[in-house]
Amino acid sequence: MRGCFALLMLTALGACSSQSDKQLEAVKAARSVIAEWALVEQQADRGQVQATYAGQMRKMAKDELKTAQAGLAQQPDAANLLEKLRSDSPDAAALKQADDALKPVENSLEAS
Amino acid sequence: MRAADPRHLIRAYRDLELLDRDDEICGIVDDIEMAQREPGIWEMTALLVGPGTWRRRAPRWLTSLLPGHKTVRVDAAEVASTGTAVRLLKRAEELDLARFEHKLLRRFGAR
Amino acid sequence: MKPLEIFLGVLTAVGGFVDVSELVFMSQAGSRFDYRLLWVVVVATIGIMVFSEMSGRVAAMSRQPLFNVIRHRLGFSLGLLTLAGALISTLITCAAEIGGVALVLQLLTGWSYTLLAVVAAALLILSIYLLPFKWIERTYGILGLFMLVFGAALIAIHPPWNEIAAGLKPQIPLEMSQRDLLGYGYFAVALISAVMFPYELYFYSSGGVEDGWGSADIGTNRITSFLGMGLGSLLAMALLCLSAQEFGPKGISPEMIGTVVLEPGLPYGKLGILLGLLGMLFAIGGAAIETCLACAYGVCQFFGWRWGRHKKPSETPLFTLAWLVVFVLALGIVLTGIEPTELADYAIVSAIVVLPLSFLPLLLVGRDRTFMRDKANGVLANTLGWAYYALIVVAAVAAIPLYLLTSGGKL
Repeated sequence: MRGCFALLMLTALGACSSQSDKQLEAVKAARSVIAEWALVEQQADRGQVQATYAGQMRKMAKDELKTAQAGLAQQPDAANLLEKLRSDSPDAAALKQADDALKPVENSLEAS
Repeated sequence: MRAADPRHLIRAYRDLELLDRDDEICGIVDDIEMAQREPGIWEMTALLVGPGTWRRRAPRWLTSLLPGHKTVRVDAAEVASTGTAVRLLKRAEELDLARFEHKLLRRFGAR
Repeated sequence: MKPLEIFLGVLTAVGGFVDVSELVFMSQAGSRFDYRLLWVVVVATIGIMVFSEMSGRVAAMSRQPLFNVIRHRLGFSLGLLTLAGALISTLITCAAEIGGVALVLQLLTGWSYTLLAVVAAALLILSIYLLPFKWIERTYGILGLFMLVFGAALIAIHPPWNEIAAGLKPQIPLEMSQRDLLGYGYFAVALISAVMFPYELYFYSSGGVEDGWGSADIGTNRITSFLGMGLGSLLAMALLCLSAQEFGPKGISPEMIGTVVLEPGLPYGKLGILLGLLGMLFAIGGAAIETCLACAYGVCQFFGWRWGRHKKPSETPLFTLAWLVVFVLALGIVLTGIEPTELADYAIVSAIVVLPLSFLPLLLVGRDRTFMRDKANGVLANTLGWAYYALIVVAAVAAIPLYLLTSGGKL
């Protein structure tokens, strides 16, 4: 009986993650990945990272953004922005712009 | 070993590592046999080793996931001493302990 | 006490302290909460020192490793459940470490992740098979000292030491939003779990028995536990502080393990990145081996099969089979494509849930004079032991709800 109750509580807690929470998670992850990518590009421009490292980080960032994009299906502007980043070779400035563009999306999801 | 309370006997032997005469690990004491030789005095008469004893100690749904049904009975006379492990007077093979492991050891050319 | 043995033991503990979970969670904790979780790392470090010393002492005095103690004190049913929980959490951790090694190799070479995961597993298997036990630990532990570049990087960036000192004071920042407070709570639990991973004690106590520790080695055990863990923890704290200083202001909460190596990369450029990657490679590789052997130790000790790397693999066939199976299963998990960072999340939560059952028998045996003779727990060890046990129970109960409410710290 007690075990069933605990299981029910955990299921209820699990269901607490709403649609907007999932989108918030996705946009936070996307913003962090973009910021990480931007930092790599900045360091690459300064000749401070190995080419192999930078190349692999770019690929990994694009993979991460693909996952985040899937979570933003209900935010088409944000999803399109991520798609554009993934298909281009953006520099640090373009990545910073993209990060700035996603900030209001994150803020509105946090407020909701 | 003898005790007035059977729980002391259980605690002294059960779930302790078994070491044979060559100091090799040869199992865990899964359960013990006890007998009341005199009124109020319990004596350990045998160690029981093997998956056959597990069904008495755990729910069926748990033990059904584990292989094996065999129980090896090691007479109390084969026990040399007990402390943090139970030491035996004979080698594991002589007492039919760790059979599968010894089969593998012979196959791989080790003792 | 042999000074060289002690010195190498301490170095091994320092270089081997950090694993993939610590890399991920220390960095995320620092970037999200600045230095405000440093005190949790200190608290957890003292905890692992207490239990590590206790497990080494139990191994030395009773010649019984932790899983023998667990079986004896908890009995068959509860012991079996503990074993099952420990195997699941340690297997997930092993998979996270193998994935972490593959990722680091990918950053170094540019080769395919899948190929490198297989190569990593093969190299780790060879390491266990070919190296004598002492040198398995030492090789990875000492080469893991490349991680010291993170410590050097922290000093080089001139962080606000007064803010770091303020972070060492226990605090609950009530001014935070409810969401952030829940996140703070989750990261506190995660850091406790990352520092006090149970596999470390399964491995350490088994290692003590493998090394033939006796009452004369109590001093070695104490020095390794306190000094080794303490200095290793400083490295972990450096990761948190670097992240607070370099990543937090940039809005980075590292989603990619490769980002962490920018911490020494920013002050030291390419050299910092290379040394950082090498440090991560060996620290995580060492952790992969420890988790794998911890699983094999647990199974063999619980069922009374011959175990130990101090014997030839052919002399311990079931133990050899057990650790090979663990590596294959862990590799299988990695090859499903689950990211090491995600595996680290699951490892953290599953580990903290298993901790209470793993540590309770240790506390009970530690104070038992039948087992410990004149080296039973004193007042300090008992007091700290039980206090930490209460903390672990609270953390274990809170772990899953906090994980679900914060979506694994991502909200």
